[in-house]
Amino acid sequence: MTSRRRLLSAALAGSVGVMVCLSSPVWAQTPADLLTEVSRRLDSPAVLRGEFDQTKTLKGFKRPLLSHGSFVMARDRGIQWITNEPFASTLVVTRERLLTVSDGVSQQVDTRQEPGLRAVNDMLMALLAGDVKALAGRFQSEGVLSGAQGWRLSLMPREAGLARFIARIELEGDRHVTHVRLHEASGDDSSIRFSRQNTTALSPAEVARFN
Amino acid sequence: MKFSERLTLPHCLALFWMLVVAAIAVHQWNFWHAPRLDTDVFSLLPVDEQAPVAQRAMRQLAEQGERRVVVMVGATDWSAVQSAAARFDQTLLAAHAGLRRVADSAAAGQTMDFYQPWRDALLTDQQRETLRNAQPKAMAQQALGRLHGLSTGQPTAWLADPLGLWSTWWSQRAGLTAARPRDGLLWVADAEGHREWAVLLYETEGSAFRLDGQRRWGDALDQAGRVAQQGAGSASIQLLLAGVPLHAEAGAVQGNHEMNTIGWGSLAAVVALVWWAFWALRPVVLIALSLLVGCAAALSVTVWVFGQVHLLTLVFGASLVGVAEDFGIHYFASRLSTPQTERWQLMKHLLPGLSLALLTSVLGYLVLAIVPFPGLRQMALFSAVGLVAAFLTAVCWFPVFDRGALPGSRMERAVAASLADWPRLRGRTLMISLAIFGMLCAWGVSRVKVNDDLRQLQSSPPALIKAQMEVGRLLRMPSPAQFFMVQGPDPQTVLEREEALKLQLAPWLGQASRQSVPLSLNAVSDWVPSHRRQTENKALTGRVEAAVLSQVGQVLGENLVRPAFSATLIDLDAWLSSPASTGLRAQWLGQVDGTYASVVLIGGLAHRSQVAELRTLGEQVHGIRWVDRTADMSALLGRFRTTMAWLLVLGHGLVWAALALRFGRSSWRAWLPTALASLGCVAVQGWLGEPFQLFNLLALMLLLGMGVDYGIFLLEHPGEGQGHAWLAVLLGAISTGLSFGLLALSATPALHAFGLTLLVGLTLVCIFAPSLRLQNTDSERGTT
Repeated sequence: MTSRRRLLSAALAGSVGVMVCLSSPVWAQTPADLLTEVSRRLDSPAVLRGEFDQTKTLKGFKRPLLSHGSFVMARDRGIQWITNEPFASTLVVTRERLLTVSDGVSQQVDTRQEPGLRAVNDMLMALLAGDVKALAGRFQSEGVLSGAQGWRLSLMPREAGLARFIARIELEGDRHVTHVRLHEASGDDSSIRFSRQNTTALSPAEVARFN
Repeated sequence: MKFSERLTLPHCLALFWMLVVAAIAVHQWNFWHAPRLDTDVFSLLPVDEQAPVAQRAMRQLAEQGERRVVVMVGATDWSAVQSAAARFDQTLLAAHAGLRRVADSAAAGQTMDFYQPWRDALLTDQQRETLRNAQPKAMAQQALGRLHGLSTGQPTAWLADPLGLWSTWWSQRAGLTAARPRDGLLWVADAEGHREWAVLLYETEGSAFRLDGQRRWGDALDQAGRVAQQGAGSASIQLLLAGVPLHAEAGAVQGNHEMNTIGWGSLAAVVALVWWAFWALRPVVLIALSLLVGCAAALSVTVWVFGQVHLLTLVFGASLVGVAEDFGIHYFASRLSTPQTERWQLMKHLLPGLSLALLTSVLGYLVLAIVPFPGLRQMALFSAVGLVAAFLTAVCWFPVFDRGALPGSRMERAVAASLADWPRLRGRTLMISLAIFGMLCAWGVSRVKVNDDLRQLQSSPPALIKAQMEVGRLLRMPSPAQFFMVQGPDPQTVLEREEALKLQLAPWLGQASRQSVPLSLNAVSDWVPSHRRQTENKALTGRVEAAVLSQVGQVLGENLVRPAFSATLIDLDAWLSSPASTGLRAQWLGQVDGTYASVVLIGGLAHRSQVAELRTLGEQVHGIRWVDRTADMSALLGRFRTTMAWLLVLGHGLVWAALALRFGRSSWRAWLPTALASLGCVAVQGWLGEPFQLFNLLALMLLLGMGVDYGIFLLEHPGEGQGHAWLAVLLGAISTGLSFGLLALSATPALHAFGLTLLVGLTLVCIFAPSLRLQNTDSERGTT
């Protein structure tokens, strides 16, 4: 029992990282008005792509780790996270699998055999499809609206299991999510900024990667 | 009249027996204040001397789940499942039915904290393989990739696990079961993807759950299920309930019901028959009294000897009412035939026949006790004591308390007179009748199918069994009755052998899992590897991780230091006493018979062919034995069946010898009806297509004891009294038949077989016994 919960938590933590980066609307139950307004301000296109700049601050490291790359999110299909600098690696998340390719070595987890991951992917898809309820049960939220378009949310895990991995997630955005800060329970932090978002359709190469 | 003159032998006996009965009454009073009733089917089962370790394993595994109730809520839509599960949980908790929800999130944290210091000693087989062949340079490149990629949220700081090994180890542990946490619930989908299920776990409250025949848990769960379904709108919610407490409760409810039906049903039948036959209150009261004393004494002695009494013993014992009234009926029937005889004189005259009848019946019951079968021993003791007590009540009290005349009734005289018209079989008619009966029996016997299945003792409602199997299938729960037993001279050897077994089976399991549902091995060494394995793992991770950290540090210009892990190894005893071993502790058997032993369970087994292959492969490893408790127990029942068959033949021989001592050449007339009836019973099983099993044989053993009584009563009174002996036989047989006939209604297959066999057997004895009686004028009778 304990191990099952832990697995999900591990999977969740990973995917929550993915999830919150995808300029997707994030809701929580309270305060309801704020969440409704944030969801109204966010676009939910079929395909969203853009670039990211990530800064990781890890325990035991003197300097932060910087990386740059691009991402593609396709509603109903999944997410591709492509790091270009300083080291090339690709992460593909779909309903059926979790694929990482780095340095020519690929690792794949079949989520059909690991339903915990599939549960997370289901939730992820629900999120992208604009399903309001998906995250509300998992996180407590508070935040502010700024100007005609801007908003900021701070998410705290409700479940103790998830809280072992994630201390807090902060989101900032307008029509899209522009800035995510992930505070892991271990003390490691990630800060991701998004830019050049657009809704161009998937290229054949991207479609192939999803398959 | 002076007191001393009145204090004759009968009065002394009556007084003595009154003291005994008073003692029993006191004991009964205490017992029913806090009845110690046992409902566990396994406590009835024989001790398997050949496999003490397997027996202990089975018991330990059973105890682990004996308080757990599993509820599965299913629908095609997960959100419908979630709301239905919430409604179910609220309704159940509001009912205060003695079930509490098992929370596991707190334990999860404790488990992780327990393992944290030994992260470096825990690796999956695949990770060991990868690390052994690892090129530090390539690994460093992957680590750098991960380090700069999307954060994968690992359970430790990056430095403590730069290769991300820990999550994979945990996910393999989690793979041992199908259920996964989702939205604060445990979630599982069926293999076809039709339905999503939420798993709710409950535990029965209280230190010892007392079952009193009330359906508390079942009703509360049903009610919660209705609320969950009704609130679901158009969504169709499916519910599955499983768990040992539900079976125990269903058994108690049913046992209670059957005990009442059989006990009160047969008491009413006996009272009605006696009233009808003697047309007076006194016989009714006295016979009912003898039954009451018999049952109370039986219960008291059984509790005294066994410490508690099993519910099935009471159900079976309820049929005692139909047997123990024979003595009283016989006494009163004889009074009718010789109304002038003084009471005590009459009793003295009847005593040899009654004693012989008691002896044969008690012998019949006691043979049941020869079998090392705790359940049968209880039933045998209960019945034997009950009979003796009823007999003593009749002998000690009836002559004293039975005052005044007994008028008799028209019915009684008609029955007594009817014997004269009953056709007697002799010479050629006898031979022809026997030949026809023999052929009919041969046909029936040839169709008999033997069945030694353990499930005869089980009477759980089919719906509950079906739900239990469905839950087991969905959750891929390992069978607690089929497993590998691992033994060794010390704990470390046992763990090492477990590891060897897992290695041996890994290729086969992978192949089998691809073909059908995933199979998993479930072993203690998954959670606490052997010291040897831990030491290897520590060396492996230490070497590779240090190299990777140094290379990554060089690239990034950082001085990366691997944090220290525990210098010790995970200790088995520390693990066993920590919350981390919750749910797994039962698999470690510890020291049994000088060796250490553990159990490796298999989840997802679906086919018999898999079992055979698994067994062959596994037993090639030293110290490993495949255990199939269901098959073992069925084989044991089969052995007992063979033994009982021979004992039955022996019993018939002994009884005939005892009869010959008293009746000489006529003894066959008392024995043959029972022998023929026994044959008939076996044939009827064949005709009805009902399986023939150990319990049919045990019933035949009882039939030998009771059926011969009727022959004895008829032979004991060859002259004028024969009609009234016939009356006694008929009344006795009808009431016995009724009470066992009621037993045939029992939902427990074993008791049903008992009841049916005795019902058929007694009917046949009642037909054969008068047909083979001595004629009034016959002078065939030998000794006495």
